[in-house]
Amino acid sequence: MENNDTQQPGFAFLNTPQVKKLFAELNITLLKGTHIMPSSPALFAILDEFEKDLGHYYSTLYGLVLEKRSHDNVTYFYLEFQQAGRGRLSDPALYVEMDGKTTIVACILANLYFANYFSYDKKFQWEDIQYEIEHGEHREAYQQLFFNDIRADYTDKEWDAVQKILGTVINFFNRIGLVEKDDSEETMHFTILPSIHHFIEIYQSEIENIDTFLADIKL
Amino acid sequence: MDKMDHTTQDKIITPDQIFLTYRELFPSEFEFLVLYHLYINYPSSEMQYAEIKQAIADTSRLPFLDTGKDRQVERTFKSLLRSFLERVPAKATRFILTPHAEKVVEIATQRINNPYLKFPLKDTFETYFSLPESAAQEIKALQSWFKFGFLNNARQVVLGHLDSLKLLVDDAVKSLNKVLETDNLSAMQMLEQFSQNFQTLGDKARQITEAIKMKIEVHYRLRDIVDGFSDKALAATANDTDYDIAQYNRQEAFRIKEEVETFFEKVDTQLDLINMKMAFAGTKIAELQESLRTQSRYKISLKKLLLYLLENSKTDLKGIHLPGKFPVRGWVSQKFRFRNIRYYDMGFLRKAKPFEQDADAAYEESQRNQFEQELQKQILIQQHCERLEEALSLAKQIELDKKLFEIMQQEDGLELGIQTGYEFIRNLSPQNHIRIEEELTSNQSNDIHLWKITIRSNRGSHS
Repeated sequence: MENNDTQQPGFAFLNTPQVKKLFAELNITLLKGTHIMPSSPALFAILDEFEKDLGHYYSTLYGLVLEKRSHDNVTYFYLEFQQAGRGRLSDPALYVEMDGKTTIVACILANLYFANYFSYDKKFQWEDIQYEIEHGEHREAYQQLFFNDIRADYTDKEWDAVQKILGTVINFFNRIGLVEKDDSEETMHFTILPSIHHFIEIYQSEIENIDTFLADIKL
Repeated sequence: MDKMDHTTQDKIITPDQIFLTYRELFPSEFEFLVLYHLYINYPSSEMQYAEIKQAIADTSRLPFLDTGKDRQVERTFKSLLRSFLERVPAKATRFILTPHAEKVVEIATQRINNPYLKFPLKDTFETYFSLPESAAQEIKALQSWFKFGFLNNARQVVLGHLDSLKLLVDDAVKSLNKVLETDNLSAMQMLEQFSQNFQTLGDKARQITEAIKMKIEVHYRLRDIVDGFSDKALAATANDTDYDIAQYNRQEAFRIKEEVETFFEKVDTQLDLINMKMAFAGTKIAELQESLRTQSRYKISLKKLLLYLLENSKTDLKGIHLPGKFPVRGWVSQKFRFRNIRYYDMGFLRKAKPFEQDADAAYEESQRNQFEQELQKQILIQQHCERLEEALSLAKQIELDKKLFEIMQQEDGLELGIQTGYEFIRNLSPQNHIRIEEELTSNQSNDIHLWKITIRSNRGSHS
C-alpha cells in the first residue's frame, strides 16, 4: 500500500489507518481552498504519501485537480478546477468567484512578494501597504481607487476604512494559507507565503502576455 | 564584605519612569535632523540663536520632508532646549549641543557607518573574554570581569558586530530586490557583484562564529568557577562566620554564568538568522543567473497588471468592482460548518409509562434483617421489663440505675439498657413512686453514669 507508485490509483487507500484518522479533516481543509504546506505536518504527510490516490479521488468524484507546487524551497498542495470547467462543483453555490477586493489585494501581495524576491522572510505589516499607498510608485492610482480622491492627507477614518478592506482579505488569505498572520485578527502583521504563486498561476496567461492583454481589454 | 555594593547597585527602573523621561531622551525625527545639521556644522563649538533658527529652516526645506507646511521655529527650538541644547554659562545668547545630544547623533551615524566591522574581532574577544586568574578565588574579581570586561566591552563589541552585519545583509538584500527592475545586461553584472558581496559577508559571519567558539572555553572556565564556589558554600556550616558570604558568592557566580550563557544563546540565534538570510539570497542569485530574463519580465508584468487593476477598478459603497472586461476567475473555496444543535431538556415532553419494577432482593433481605433485629430487641426489652417488675413486686423497692447497669453489661450494649429503662418507667403504674436523686452512680468500668433512681412500690400499702 505504501508503495503506491507502482499500483494503479484506487480508493483502497481510504482504508489505511492514517488516512482514516485524518481524512475528514484533510478533505474539508482542501475543499475550503486551503493550501497545505509542511507547516501542517500530519496532513502534508498524507498528501505526500498518497498523492496519486488522492489525486484520483478528487478527479473522479469531484472533477477537481490536486495540484502540487514548489516555490522558494516550500512544497504545497491545493485543489484547483480543471481547465475545462468546475467539475462537480459547477453549481454556483459550491465555488466562489474572486471579487474585486480579493483580486486586487492578491495582486498587491503578489507584487510585494516579487518586490522582495531575495528576502528570506517576506514579512509585512499594515504600515508597508500604507507606505505604498502614500508614497509608493503607484500612489496616485492607489489613492484614487481607495479614497476616490488624491490629496496630501487623509483622515484617520479614511485610513481605517482602507485598512478594514485589506484586513478582511488578508484574514481570508490567512485561512486558506496564502499568508500567515503572526498575531491576532485585529492587527496586520503577516508573512506572504510562496503559495501566493497560485494567484499568479490563475492569471498566468494574462501576465505572460500582459501587453497584448492590456491592449485588447482597453479596446 | 562587598555584598551591599552589589545588591544596591542595580536599581530597578520602572516602565513609567522610562515613559516620563522618554521624550527627554530621544528627539523626534525632525528634531534629530536639526541636531545632525548642528553637529556637522558646529562641531563642539558655540552657536547663536540665529544659526539654530537657520538650521531649523534649512532642515524643514529638505526635499524628503517637504510637506508643504512651515515648521514652527520657536517651538522646535524650545523643545530642543530641554535636553539637547544648552546655554553657555555667562553667555546668554550662545548655545552648545549637550553631551547627550552628541551621543544620540553618534549612535545614529555609527549605525549607518558602523565602525565595528573594522575592529579586529578575534583580538578584542581574546582580551575581554579572558577571565582573570583571581576570578576563581575572589567573587569581586569575577563580578568586575562580568561588569567591565563582559557587559561593557565584549558583549557590546559582539552585539555591534552582529548588528552591523545584519544591517549589511539587509541592505544588500534590499538592493538585490531592485536588480530585477533593471535591464538584463546590467542586472547580470550587478548579480555578479552581489555574489562577491555575499561572499565577503559570509566570511565575516564565519569570523564571528569562530570568535564565538571561544565561548566553549569561557563556558568551561565559568563552570569550574561556579563549582569551586559551590563546594565552598557546601562546606560552610551555618555557624561559620563566612557562611552568608559563601552562599552569596555561590549565587553570584551562578548568576554570572547563567547570564553569559543566555547571551551566547542569543548570539547563536542571531547568527543563524543572518546565515539563513544570506543563504536564501545566495540560492536565489544562483537560480536567477539562469532565469533572470523570465523573472524580471514576470515582475514587470505583474506590476503592469496591478497598475491596470488599480487604475480601472471602481469603489463604491458596495465595495471594489473590477473593470468590466477583466476576466473574473473562481477558485475552490467551500464553507463548511456542521451545526451541532444543543439539546436543552425543559421537561415538557415527559411520557408517563407504567412499568413493572424488578424486585431488589438485596434490599429486601437487608430490610428483613433490620426488622428482625428490631423485633428481637423489643422482645428482649419486654423480657427485662417483666423481670424488673417482678423484682419490684417482690422487694417493693429497686434501685433502677443498678439494674440498668446490669442489663447493659449482660447485653453488652448501652442502647438496650437505656431503652429498657424508658420502657419500664413509661409502663410503671401510678401507684409506684419514682425518686431521682442528684447523685451519679456508675457502672463497673466507670464509663457510664446515671442519676440514682429508686422505685418504690406502694401497691402493698394500699391493698
